[in-house]
Amino acid sequence: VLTRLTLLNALLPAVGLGVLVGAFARNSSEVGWIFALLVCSAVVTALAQQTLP
Amino acid sequence: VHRNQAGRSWISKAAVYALASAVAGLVAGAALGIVGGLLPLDIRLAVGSILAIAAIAVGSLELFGRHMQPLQFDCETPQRWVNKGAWRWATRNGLTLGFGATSRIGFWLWYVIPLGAFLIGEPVPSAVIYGAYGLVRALGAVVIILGMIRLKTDISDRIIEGYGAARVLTAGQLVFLGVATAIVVGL
Repeated sequence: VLTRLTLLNALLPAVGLGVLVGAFARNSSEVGWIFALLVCSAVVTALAQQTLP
Repeated sequence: VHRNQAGRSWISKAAVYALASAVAGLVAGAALGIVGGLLPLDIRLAVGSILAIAAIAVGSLELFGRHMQPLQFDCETPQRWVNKGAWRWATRNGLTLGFGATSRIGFWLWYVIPLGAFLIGEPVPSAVIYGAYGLVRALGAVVIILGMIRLKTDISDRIIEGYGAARVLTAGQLVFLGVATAIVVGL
């Protein structure tokens, strides 16, 4: 149940969003989009690390 | 007056901590960008494609509940630094956490930061990526402490309880980034 919920709540949206952003980025500024995604990942990592003991 | 002086002192140490953390990230990012720039763009794109697939695989495994501990120095910053004085502790702790690699990483998503900074291959954007990490990592701790002061309660246990949710969030971000990157540079 947990796996199915995780799949529905996290994996599918992540893949879907990735396809959308990837397709959009291919038709516009590729480097700008990758840069923005990397900055976003850096911020998410830093916020997630606040939960480390 | 004493309380105000203590408050001001605390804020200035928090500012030094955040600044040191951001500087560590900026310097590490700029260095990685310079070194990465020495590699031809084709090679960086090829490596980026392979890493994008790896990100999808690792993120998916995490979301399927197969937790793999990231390669890391599984330790905190040394406690003995507290004995060196508050200013030196703030500076050293900030520099160490802003760099990140020599203390507990916790999440596979962390690797995106140095690898991304390296593969971007330009000092300024690479410094911004790593510097954003350093700044937010330090400011996050400062905001939590300010929140605890304001709420007059210790919320650190509740924040640590969010580790499971943070793992799902970072794994989802890893898959999202991997899919988008694979489409942009790989396919």
